[in-house]
Amino acid sequence: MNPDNHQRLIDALVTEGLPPDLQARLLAGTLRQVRRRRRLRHGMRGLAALVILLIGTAAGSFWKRAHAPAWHPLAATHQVVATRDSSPVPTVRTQPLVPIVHTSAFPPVPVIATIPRLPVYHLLSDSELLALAAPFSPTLVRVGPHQQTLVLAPTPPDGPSPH
Amino acid sequence: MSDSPPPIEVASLTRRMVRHDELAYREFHDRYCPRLARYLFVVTGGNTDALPDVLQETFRRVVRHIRPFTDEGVFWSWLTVLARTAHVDEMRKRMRYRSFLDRFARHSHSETVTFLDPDAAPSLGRILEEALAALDDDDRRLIEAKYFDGCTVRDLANGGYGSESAIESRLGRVRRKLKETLAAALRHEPR
Repeated sequence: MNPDNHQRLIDALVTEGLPPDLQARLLAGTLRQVRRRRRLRHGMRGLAALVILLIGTAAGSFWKRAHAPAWHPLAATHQVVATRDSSPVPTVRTQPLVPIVHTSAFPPVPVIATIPRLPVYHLLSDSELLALAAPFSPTLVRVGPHQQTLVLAPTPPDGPSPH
Repeated sequence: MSDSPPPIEVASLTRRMVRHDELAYREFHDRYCPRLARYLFVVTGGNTDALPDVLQETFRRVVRHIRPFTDEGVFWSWLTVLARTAHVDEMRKRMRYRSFLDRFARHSHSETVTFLDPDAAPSLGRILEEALAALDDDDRRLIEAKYFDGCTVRDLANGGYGSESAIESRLGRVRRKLKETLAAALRHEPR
């Protein structure tokens, strides 16, 4: 008996009583699983790339920090600057000046400059009058109720008399 | 196995399956679904109640654990391991209250059916021939004409076997009878 005939008959017997679309349903389920696994694999690849990137960044940062030159404070070998104490400068606030600008056109009439008028006479006081008498020794003699006479006598070399 | 793909095709097929190529899985399905169904038919002792679930679980495990194979025989052995474990897990799920017995059966079963291949072992062919020989002459001739000679139902109707609907009904009845005979023989077959 031909084995192919056996297989054809056995296949018919195996699928007897089973849903006619069994193979199609099985294939659909398998393909769903394949797509799910493919998405999972892509997701895992992305996650792995991210992890590698993070590890690389962390390693680079660590290496950079480990190989950076260490900072040590330098000791001063000689005094090059003198220490000065300073006090704060008081703050002075200024107010801006208000500019006053007067502008005018030339007057239409000529400007005449005047000088202040000198007094015609000057009434001397007694002390001024007596001062004019120097170097004479003045003597005022009352001759009436409203009249007085000024007498100018030369001053003796040894000074005026005690009276 | 007469429809075994050449080794180079298995290597290419499995490599594409590893890359989750859908066309590769369609090709794999066309090639190995009937063969796995026949295998599970023998493993289950002709019980096809759980066959759809076991087949689906087998394909799920294939998708999950696929790796490149270069030898078709090794690939088929790997597939049978997946099918057997899927069958055992499915049975354990269905008969959880018999878990201890099931584990025991799994252990002994996995040891005994490891090398059983329904395509390679002559037992299934021999059982089928015995079941065919036990049929009535008319039923046996009908089956042989349909499956061995490749006649269609219309050809059979024109050949005097009756109307097409009557032939379909009769073919179904004979197939069920043959299936029951095969299942009974497989259950008693030393494995």
